[in-house]
Amino acid sequence: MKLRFIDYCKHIKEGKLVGLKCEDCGHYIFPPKSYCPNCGEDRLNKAELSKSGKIKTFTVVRVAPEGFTPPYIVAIVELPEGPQVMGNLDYDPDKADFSLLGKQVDIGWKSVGGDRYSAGEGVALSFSLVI
Amino acid sequence: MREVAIIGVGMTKFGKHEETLLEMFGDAVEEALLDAKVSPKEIEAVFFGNCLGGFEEGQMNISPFGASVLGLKDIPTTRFECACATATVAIRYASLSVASGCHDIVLAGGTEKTLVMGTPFATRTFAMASDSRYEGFSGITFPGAFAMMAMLYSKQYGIPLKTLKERMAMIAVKNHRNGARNPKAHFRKEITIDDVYNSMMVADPLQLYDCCPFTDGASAVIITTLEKAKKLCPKPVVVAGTGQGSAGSLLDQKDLPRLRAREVAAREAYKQAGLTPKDIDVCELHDCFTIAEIIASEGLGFFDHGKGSEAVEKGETDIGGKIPINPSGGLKARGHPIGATGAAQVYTIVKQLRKEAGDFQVDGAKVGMVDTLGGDFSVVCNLILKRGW
Repeated sequence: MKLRFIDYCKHIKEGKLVGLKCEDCGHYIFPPKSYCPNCGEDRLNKAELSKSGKIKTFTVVRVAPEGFTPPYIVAIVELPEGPQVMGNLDYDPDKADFSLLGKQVDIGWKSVGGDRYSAGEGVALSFSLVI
Repeated sequence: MREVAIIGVGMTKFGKHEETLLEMFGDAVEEALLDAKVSPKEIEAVFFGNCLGGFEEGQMNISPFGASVLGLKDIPTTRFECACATATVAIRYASLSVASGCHDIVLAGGTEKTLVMGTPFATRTFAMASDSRYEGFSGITFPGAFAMMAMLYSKQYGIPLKTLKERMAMIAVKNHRNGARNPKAHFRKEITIDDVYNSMMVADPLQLYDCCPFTDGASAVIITTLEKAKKLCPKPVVVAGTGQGSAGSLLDQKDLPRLRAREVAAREAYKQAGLTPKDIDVCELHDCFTIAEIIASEGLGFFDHGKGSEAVEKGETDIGGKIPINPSGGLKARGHPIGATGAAQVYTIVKQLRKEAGDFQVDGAKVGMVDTLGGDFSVVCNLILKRGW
C-alpha cells in the first residue's frame, strides 16, 4: 500500500490531506488501499485531496465510547474528488439540525490521544462551516 | 453440493446472566441436542461465534473450550467473528461444510456477555467494528453510524425527519409488543410511542428506545444433510439459500442509504433458494436500531426503496401483516448478544416453520429469512430456510 497510516497522519499535520489516485482510471481513493476499487489495478500513487467538502450526514454523539467526552458531532464529508472522510464538526451540538446537510466545510485536524487498544495516538479530522 | 437441514435449535433466555460465556453456550447446545435427539459425540465440527470474549472475560481462543465443555474431543472447532453478523456467518459456513461433504453433523452458534462491560466500555468495544484508523478516532459509535443513516434516509427519500421518527417509534412499539410474547426475550414489556419520545437521546435522531440493548445470551443449531435429517427428525428445516456480502469501511460506501453488502447477500440467497421476496412468509432481520429495520426491509426486497417506513405505519410488518418482521421481538426486544444473535434469529425461524412459536406464531409460515448485519454496514449475511417435510 502506497499510503501508510503513519504518513497520512504526518501529512495532515503538515496541512495536507493525502489519499491515493489510480494512474489507470483516475479514481481517487480514501481510505487507502492496495488496489483500485474502481478498476482493480495497482498503480496507485499518493495524491493531495481538497481540504474542503460538503456534509453528507452527521449525528450528535451523546453516549460516547470510553475515552471520549460527549456531546460531540461526528460527520461524513464528501470531497470534490469523490472520496468521503469522517471527522468532528466544530459546532454547538445543541444547535445542530438537519439544515447542516449539504453545508460546505473546511477540513482541519486534531490529535487524539487514543487508549490502550488504539495502537497509540491518531488524528481526527475537524470540520468547520464555511460562513 | 448436498442439501442441508437444521434438526435442532437451542437458546438461553436473553438478558442479564451470571453464567460464563461457556456455561451459557453449554445450556444453548444442550437444548439444541435434545431438540435434535443427537448425542454430543455425533458432532463432527463446531462453528463457534463470539466477538468480545477477550474483553468480557479475558477469554480468547474460545472455540476449543466450547467443544470441551460439551465433552467433544478431537474435532475441529473454529471461532467466527463478523461483529453482529457473527453467528449467521458461522451457520453459513457450517452449512457449507455439510453441503460440501466435509462433515455430516455439525454444531454452530454463539455466545456473548456484553452487559458485564458497562455502557462506556461496551460502546468502545462495539465501535472497534468500524475502521479503527480512519473512523475510530472521531469517536464514532454504532448508534452514531445508524443515526447518520437515518439523516441520510430522510434526505434521500424526502421523508421529513419528524415523520421518519414517528415511524421508527412504531417499529420499537411493534418489536416490544412481539417481544412481550416471547418467553426468551430480553425485554418482555410493551411500550408506547411516548415512551420512545421520552427516552434519552443517544445519537441524534436516535433515542434510547430506538436502540437495541446490550444483552447476554447464547444460541446453537445442529446442522446435517437433508437426507440424514429426514431420518432423524419429523420436521427438518432446509437451509435453502445463503448469501454473504462485504462493503469495507463506511467511508467506501457511496450508495447509502442502500447497502450494497445486503443486496449482494440477499440476491445470492434468493438465487440459491430459487425464491423471491414474495415467497418469504416471515423474516427475522437486523433491527439493531429502528432505522436499521426499515433499511433491511427494503434491501431484502420486501418494499421499494424509500417505502419501508410507510409499510410499518400501515402495519404490513406486524404478525398477520403482509410480511411479518421480527415476530420474536427482534434485536430490539429479544436482545442482542452480538455473537449469538444470528443463531437466535435462526432459532426463531425454525420454531416458526415448525409451528412451535407459541404466542408469536405467524400463521402458515413455510419459508423464512434471516438477515444479520455486522459493523457499520460492512458485512451482511442472509439465510433462507424452508420446511423440509
